Amino acid sequence: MIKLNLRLILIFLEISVIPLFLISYLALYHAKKMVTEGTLSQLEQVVAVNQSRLRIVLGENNGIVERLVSGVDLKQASAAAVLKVKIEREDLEKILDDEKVNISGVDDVFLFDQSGKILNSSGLFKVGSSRPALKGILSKDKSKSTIQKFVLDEQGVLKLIAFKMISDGTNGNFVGVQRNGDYILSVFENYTGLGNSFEFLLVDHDKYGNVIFVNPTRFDQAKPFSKTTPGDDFSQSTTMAIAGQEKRVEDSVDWRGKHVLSVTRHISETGWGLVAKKDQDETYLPVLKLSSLLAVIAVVAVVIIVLISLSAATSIVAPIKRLIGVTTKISGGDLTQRAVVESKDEIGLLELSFNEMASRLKDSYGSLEKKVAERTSELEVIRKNLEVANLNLRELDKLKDEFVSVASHELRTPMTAINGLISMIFEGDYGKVNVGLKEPLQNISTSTQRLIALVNDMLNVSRIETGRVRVVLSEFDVKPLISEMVEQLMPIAIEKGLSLRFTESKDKTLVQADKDKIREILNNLIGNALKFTQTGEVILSVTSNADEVKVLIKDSGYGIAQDDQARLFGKFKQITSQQIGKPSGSGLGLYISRELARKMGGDLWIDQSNPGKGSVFAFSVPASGSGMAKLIFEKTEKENKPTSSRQELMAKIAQKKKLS
Amino acid sequence: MAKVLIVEDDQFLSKMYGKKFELAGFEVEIAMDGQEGVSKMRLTKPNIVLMDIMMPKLNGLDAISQAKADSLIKNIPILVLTNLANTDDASIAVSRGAIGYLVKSDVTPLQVVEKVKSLLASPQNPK
Repeated sequence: MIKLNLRLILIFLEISVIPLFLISYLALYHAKKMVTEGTLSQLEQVVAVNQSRLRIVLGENNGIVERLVSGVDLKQASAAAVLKVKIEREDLEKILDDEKVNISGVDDVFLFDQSGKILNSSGLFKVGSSRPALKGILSKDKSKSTIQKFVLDEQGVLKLIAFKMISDGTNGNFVGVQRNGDYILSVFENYTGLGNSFEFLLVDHDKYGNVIFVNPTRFDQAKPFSKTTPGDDFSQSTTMAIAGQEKRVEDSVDWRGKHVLSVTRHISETGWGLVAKKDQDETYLPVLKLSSLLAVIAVVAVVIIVLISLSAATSIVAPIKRLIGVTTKISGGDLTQRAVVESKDEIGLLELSFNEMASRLKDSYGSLEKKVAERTSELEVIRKNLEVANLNLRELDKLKDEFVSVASHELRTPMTAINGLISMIFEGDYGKVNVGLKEPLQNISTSTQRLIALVNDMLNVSRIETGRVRVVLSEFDVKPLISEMVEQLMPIAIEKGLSLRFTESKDKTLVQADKDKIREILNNLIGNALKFTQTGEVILSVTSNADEVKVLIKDSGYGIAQDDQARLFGKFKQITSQQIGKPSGSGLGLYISRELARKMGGDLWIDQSNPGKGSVFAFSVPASGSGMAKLIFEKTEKENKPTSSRQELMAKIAQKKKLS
Repeated sequence: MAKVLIVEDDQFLSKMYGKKFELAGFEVEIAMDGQEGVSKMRLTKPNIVLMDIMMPKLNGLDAISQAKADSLIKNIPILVLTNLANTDDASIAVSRGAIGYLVKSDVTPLQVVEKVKSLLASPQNPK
């Protein structure tokens, strides 16, 4: 918020203050220029007027001198063979009269020689007296034109002497007129109305080449011929003037060291310089005053502008701030917030559309929530259904379990009776058996045994699948077990004329396994080997390493093709071929055996087999103390469930028996 | 003459075993359920009892427990004869006090007689 406010204020300031300053600057610049021009024009006017007046005086002097010269010359010409130049005073006076020029301020006219000695005078000077002042102005020019020079006379008073050489055959005599210096200087404009720092200067070269001030200065009342400045200091306009430069100088330094505006003029006849000057301080005072005023105005204006722009910015930013407040609340979760629309401008529009957006958001949020609630309740229903289904499945599982248990139990009982009675009949318990009956009875017995085996297998499979097979682990040597099973099945081998043996080995054969399960596996594998071998032998062997003990059952039977090998381990799978015909057995044996082996942490597989070349079946169990043994031990510890559920089951079966 | 009590609810089976034992020279008693079995144990004091598990009224396992709780008959050896082929049940039976466990469908009546004979010959022989 601060940022936006600041930016707006800055913009306002820039818009208003920059032009303000620009205009002020321009105004001041222009004012200064005008003042400068005005002052210079003023100075120029003054100096021009003074110049012309001075020239008039010089002209007057020139006239007098010319008349004197011609008067003397005439006299010279008329006086023959007169060696000394002699002009009567009356003549000089007469010349003055003749001129009838009301020339005021003429002290005297006189004749003098090169040494400054007065040869003749109209009254003021004693003839024969020497005037060093005259000598001083003579020493420079030897020209034949009128020379006019300011000098200080014997009393130190300022005089103007105009003189000219006369050609009387004797070189070095001059005729001159002396005028009152102050009178001449009085032709200059006085200082009234020209300002406090206005000064007019008349300057000449002194004999050293310096610039010497002729008229008294205004500021320190220096007397004539009392002040000099270096003749090469062109920073001063007096130096410029005496050098012949006639110009308007905007900035130069005067004899006080102050900066002045000046205008210079030059009197070429006498080599004098004229300068009218005015201090810059005084000249530009009004401009300074103006700039001060403008500065004050500017400051005030800036303050006002800042205040105005502050309020303007705030008023622009305020609705934005309000809107931010509303948006924050909405994003905080309160979707009922709305902006208050106060203006009809773009901000108002923004607020309006924002409100609409918020409303839409609220609606869609609401509908979204509704949808979510709906979906949740749908899912809840589904979940409940799934739970029910799950329970049903578990029930089903239990029922299946029960069914299998009940069925197997129920099936076994009559089969036990059949089998038992037949065996008793064969044993002669019911009298001598008719020879002809032997075969059919035997067939009945065999069939019954097959039924029993089938029921056993189905029960096993069911129990394996429902995980009801309990593995009881113990550590034992597997070799005696193998010998035991070999002995048990020997009768079958003998009957078929097969050799059945167990090749001992020196290997350590301690295993961690379930004894009964091993017996089952051996029973199955040896039984299969004997079943599927017509001639030859069935040999058992055992090998071991640190991890497992492997038992191999080799037969010289039909062999099994590659393709069939995998299928063998499936449920109810048997190999049928023309050689074997349909073998007996449920087809579950290998499946069960392999599951049992795996349950104990081992495995069961066909090591090798080829049609016509016999087979080698193998199974492995963890060696006692191996890593796998430990794992299986831990696993079975966890898995062996309590027997209460089993007792429940038995109770149920008993109940069913009662009902049937 | 040794006396054997056959506790079995299936009549065919009890008759069959009964005949075999008789032919083998035993005196045979038969009970149809666990309850009858226990009371006949008290009454006739057989040398050995063949006990089925799945029976009405009182099942075999409970009957064993009862028998073993009765000081009069607790020393009579009981051999479980059942069609439930489960090592669970075997261990329960043994824990209750049976001296052995046979699965009927796995053995012939002759084998049962042989087993009984060997058990009577060395009574401490566990399965």
